[in-house]
Amino acid sequence: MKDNKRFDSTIEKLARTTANYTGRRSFIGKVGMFLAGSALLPLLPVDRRARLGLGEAQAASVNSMTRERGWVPQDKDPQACDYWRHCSIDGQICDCSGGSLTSCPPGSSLSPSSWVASCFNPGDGQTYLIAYRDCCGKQTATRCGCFNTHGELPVYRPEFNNDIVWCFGAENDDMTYHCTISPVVGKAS
Amino acid sequence: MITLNNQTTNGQRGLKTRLAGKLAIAALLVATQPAFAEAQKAVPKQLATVGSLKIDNLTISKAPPSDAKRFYLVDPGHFNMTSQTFVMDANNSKLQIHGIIDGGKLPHVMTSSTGKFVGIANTTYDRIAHGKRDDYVRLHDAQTLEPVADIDIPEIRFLTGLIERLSAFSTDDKFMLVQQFSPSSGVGLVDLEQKKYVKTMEVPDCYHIFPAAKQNFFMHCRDGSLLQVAYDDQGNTKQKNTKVFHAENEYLHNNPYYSNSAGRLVWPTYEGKIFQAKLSDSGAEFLKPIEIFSDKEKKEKWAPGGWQPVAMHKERNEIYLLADKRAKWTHKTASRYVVVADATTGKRLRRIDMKHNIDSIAVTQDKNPTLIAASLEHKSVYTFDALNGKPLASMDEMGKAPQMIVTMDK
Repeated sequence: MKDNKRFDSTIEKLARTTANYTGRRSFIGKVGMFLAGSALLPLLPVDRRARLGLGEAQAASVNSMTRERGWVPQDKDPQACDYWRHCSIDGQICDCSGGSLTSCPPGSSLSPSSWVASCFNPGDGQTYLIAYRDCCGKQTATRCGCFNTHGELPVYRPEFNNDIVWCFGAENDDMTYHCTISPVVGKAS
Repeated sequence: MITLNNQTTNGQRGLKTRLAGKLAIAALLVATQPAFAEAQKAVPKQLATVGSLKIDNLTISKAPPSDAKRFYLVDPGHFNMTSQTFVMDANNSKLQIHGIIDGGKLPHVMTSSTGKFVGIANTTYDRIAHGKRDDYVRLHDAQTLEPVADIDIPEIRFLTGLIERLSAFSTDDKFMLVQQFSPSSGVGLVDLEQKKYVKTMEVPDCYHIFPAAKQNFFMHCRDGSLLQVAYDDQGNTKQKNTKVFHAENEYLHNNPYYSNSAGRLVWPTYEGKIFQAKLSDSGAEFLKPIEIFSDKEKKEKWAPGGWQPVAMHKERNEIYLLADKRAKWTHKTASRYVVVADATTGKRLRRIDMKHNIDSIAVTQDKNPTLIAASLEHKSVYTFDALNGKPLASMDEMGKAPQMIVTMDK
């Protein structure tokens, strides 16, 4: 029952917010853009791959995320900052604070919005699309701070930017950052 | 009952002296009772009188008037729920801290054109990191640091790792402009004179706020153009885009240099190409881009990098760029050097070795400018003579993550 109320409330809020900000014509236009954008989403890895270039993505595996060496991923320790899935993470690794690579720590809320990056896995030589999700509603976790910027773009390209608090749509609209998980969406090639 | 120390004194004179001393203290306490009656109501009863002894000449300090060497060092504590802004100056080749201003999560800090007050756009939650969100704007007197205005705004602030120009004063300090990202792009208009929120002005997919005279501001759009927005007191706007001034793969750093008073915009790419513009109510004048590094330096992997990587001294027409030899995609990693170049020709003037990994730089606008540098790694701030690179002063224990330096525009 409680969940139903929350669902109803969320839908009502969404409808009111949409009504506040959107005329009918522009609403239809935006829905169209959203649908078109959704259809194009699978192309993102291809776009990204083209920008980094296959050779460059693989060459990155001989570097590390120091100023001099850049990004050098490993595939053994998910709690380490140089774990391959964390190539564009900016914040705290949830795996170090009660979560995992795909789950938020207890008591936090999972944001449905994400930024993306293409990360090279040295274990199988493949590049994957990672859709980073922030876990929200709690103070910033302190463990495993990680500041990687491989392929990271400026804020005016928000879908590739890791500075934004990606808690949009989290429960109760808590725009408060706790930590980040690094789920794989699929192969980037 | 007050117990004095247990020193032993010999003879009648010592006894008299002790007696006189005790009487004097007792008299003092009796005399001060009425004056402290009100204050003592707040003092726990367990402390009796000793815990609230009157002491003369205790004051609350006042910072000196803001001048060209005044600056603010913002520590958001990474993504902490609260923040601190250190109020400092670099006068006399020293570093002085005059106080600290509290802020909420990921604050936007800005100085007024006169330097008389500093503004902070805040976000807090009523249950630490969740519950009811509250966005508000506070203006603080630059000397007492007391709030002189507290204005509630809708919960619109775009929360990111600190990006200076996501909020700004208008050039005449009459308004504050606040970027909204969700649920749609917008700019909140706050009337500082009327102390009220006016409205959220709809804008397209554009970011940053660069104010210009006569109630104009510019934003940078995804397509590489600038959007000029003219607004009236009610938040009605007229908008037009400039030409596209940079290519899609010329990625611009998140924190450019911008002067409200001069309309000068200096914006480096990840690779070290610098785009510049002069912004005014009549439009944007784009200057010829500068390649700050020679081909030889580019082969040696010189490129800008850090959080706040660029500054300008307007009168000297000099650009200061935080840079180092670096691998690709390390554009936010700290750098050790500042490269100084003529803003018109791009000619290299000097290079300053700061001998520390520095994340953010700024330059004061006086005739003997100071280069200010902040280090997240060392939680420290350093100053250098901007003209000869000589180290001047440093201060450590600057919070958790001192990340943004806000200097005076003039």
